[in-house]
Amino acid sequence: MDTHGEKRGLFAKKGLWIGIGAGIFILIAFILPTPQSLVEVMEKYGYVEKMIEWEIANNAKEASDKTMIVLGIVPMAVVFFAIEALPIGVTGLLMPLMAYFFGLLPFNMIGKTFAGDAPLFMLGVFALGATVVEVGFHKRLAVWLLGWTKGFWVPMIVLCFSMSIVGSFMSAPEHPRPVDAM
Amino acid sequence: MIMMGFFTEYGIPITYSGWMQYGWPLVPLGSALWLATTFLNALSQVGMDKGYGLWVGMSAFSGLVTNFMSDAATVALIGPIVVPMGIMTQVAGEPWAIGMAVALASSYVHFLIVGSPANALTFALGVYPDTNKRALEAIDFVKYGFGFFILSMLLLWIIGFLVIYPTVGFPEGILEQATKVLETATR
Repeated sequence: MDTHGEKRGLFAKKGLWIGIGAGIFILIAFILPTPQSLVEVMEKYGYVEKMIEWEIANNAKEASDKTMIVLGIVPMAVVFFAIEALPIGVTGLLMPLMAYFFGLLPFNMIGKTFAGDAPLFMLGVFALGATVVEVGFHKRLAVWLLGWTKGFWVPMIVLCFSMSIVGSFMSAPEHPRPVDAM
Repeated sequence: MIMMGFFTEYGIPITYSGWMQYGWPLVPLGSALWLATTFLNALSQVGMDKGYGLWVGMSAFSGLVTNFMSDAATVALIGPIVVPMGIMTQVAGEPWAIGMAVALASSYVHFLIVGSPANALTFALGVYPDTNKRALEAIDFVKYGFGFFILSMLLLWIIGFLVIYPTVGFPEGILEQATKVLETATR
């Protein structure tokens, strides 16, 4: 499968974007000074204690340094994901690897998301999609849809409305609960 | 070759779970809370610390953040900060107004494939079945989605806050009741 497409111009210069992403990460994580307000927030809301309890930091300075690394990963990952400077899967693996390498979370917490519902749900959807294509059901479905809707706008509007209505009642099952996120 | 095949076939599940892994430390390590409080302080300095200004500011923040991490995590993060703040402003309709502003904006996941599983799946399935060539690039979400994100925010700010909020209104006494609850909780 070609995951790179045919990008042209500035977006095709992957080396440049990898450099920009890495540069932003290094700047935020290691060069910019840690804001005092960040240390205060972390102490006030108990993040420092939690990180010491998890044995990933020994004091407020170390804890806030790790938080700065997380803040540095954000723009780098956004650049990599948006531009596809690295293959999407590699970028996806890079995040937990960095979390492990920099000790941002306890090891067992890093692996937990890969054992969760999200990857299995997505693999299931892909398997279903592959089966639909393999047996030619996608063509029959398309013909059926085109049979009772005409032109471009009617199917578009019908699909948009039906998806919106169904989506209002159904939740993406792999979304984490707020309590998990906290 | 086998490894490349693995990355391309399973790239999206890895990406999504990896991103959730990555987006996740934002919350437990305090980065997200610090970003939210810094943003709130900045809003206060430009006089957007209550009413319409606060709704616009916090919905913009919620909309941006939800493109990087899940909507549930976004609301779980911002909600506990802005709801008491909304009550303290003593603007009629609070805290429903600010709560709904943040909740509605958290649905505008339009411009990054990792913001929502729907985007990730659409991206992953955006391949021509006969040639296996990619029909949809990640950058396409940014190109089309960012404009749509801006439109969604404008719709919320103009139609939502200026038309629907005053027209539909909020329950009577909601602010007084919320103030009492907040006072009881802080005692």
